Amino acid sequence: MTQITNNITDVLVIGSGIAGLQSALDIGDSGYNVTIIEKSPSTGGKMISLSKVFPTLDCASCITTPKMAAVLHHPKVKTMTYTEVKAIRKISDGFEVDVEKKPRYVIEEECISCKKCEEACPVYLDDEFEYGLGVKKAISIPFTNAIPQLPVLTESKCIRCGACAKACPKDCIDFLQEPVSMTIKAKAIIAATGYEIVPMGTKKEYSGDTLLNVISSLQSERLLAPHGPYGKVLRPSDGKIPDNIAYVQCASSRDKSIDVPYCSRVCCMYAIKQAMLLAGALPLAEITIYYMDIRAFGKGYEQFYAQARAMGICFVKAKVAKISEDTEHNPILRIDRQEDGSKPQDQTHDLVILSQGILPTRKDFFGLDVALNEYGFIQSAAPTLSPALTNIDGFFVCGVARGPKDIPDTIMEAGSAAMEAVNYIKGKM
Amino acid sequence: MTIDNNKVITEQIKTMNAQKGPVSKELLEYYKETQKVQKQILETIKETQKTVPEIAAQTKIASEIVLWHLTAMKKYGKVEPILAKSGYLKYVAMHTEAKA
Repeated sequence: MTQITNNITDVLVIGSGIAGLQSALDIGDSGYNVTIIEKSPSTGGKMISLSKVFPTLDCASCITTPKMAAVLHHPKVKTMTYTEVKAIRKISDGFEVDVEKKPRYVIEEECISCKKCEEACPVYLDDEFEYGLGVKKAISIPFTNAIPQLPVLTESKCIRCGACAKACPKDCIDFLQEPVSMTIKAKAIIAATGYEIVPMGTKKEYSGDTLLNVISSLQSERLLAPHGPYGKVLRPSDGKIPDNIAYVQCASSRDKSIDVPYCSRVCCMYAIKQAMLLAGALPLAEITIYYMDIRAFGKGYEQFYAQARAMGICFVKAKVAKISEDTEHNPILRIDRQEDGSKPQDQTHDLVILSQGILPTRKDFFGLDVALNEYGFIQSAAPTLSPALTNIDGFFVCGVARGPKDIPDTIMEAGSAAMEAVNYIKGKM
Repeated sequence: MTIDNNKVITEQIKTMNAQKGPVSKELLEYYKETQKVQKQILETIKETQKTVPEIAAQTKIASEIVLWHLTAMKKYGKVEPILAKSGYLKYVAMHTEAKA
């Protein structure tokens, strides 16, 4: 493993989702050097995989891609993709951060992103960018608008046929590449580590990990995206265009039995957004949202909810006790209506989407003693006045790493964290 | 690829095999099965457009697996979906004059 030392930066940003991108751009524009560490092969985080954003229904990719490109070309920002943070140490004048750059098995400086390696590769795999609905090759560029446009070889699935290397016009496949370790010295750090969604099988009663036509909200985002896996909204079991679709709200939030007792805040609005997009894509489909309460908390969100009702989306105040399926893989929901006192009923749908809750990405912070709240999100030291501050001097937080929130709040917090970091560095000079 | 690089890659693959052992049997089986299934599906839709359930019935392959392979082959330009407003999309192998 190659070791590189003596990397120095003013601010290190961990994560390149919308929060990391925004804070890096703000710091770079203020004239300070920023290094972004991103564990995935592309920048963009979760937001680049979304279809549209609520309540404006603007294209998520159209908002994120320019920021991804701006970061890549910014003279003050260095982006290290496919790189993981291994350890963080607090030192007298900042932090020492050990990182490891994973091998792509491609010579990055030589690659011209022609995709000939991907075309030649004969091995097909599940595509994690499509959350398992799509397919990629063992060597592939992560997604259409990935930045940087560099392929990654999934070495564990490579059959070593050499087809990619034979097809490469620049001779830039290197099967013997190794991880590169390095230590970066930073005056301040911003944690923009985002979130994970609760795994599909967590709530056993919903069988989300076994029923073919029960999918997650992020999978549904991909079905609705213009470059989605199927090119149209189809259900995964047999490719049928669904006529009858249901959303199950609070599918893994507000539930002490699975250790996610808090509200994930954005599920109501993204479900309403997706329902409206589905109504546009499939005008004849019946769309039902089973909910406990609707949380329409932001500017224009209540109107958005009212608009969804006006479009004919059916809102049923009911708890879903269990999900099973019939012989044709149609999901059957056992629902308990909460308003009319009727007995539990079974409702059959073509496709069911679980509005999965949000989890913090980490329970530890690379050896740094960062205070977390009771749910595992980073605890702000001054939530009302300066939400970006943490218990560690020079270590700031923004976005969902601090708790569930929507995109406008995330971007606002990213700007706040950037300014806190800049002020902190100025104060040290 | 240049002749020199051909030698480099051959050497690299030899080194990989020496360092990590040969490619696992499971992975090779998976690869062969994938190729076989895709060939079977392409054969089925070479001349006639078909839906996923129709292909599944003819090939005796589970419909979710048929859809997975059609998704793969659509992405890499081997099949083309014929758009429909309801029901099922039909798929056809590319570069053929398939009957509707």
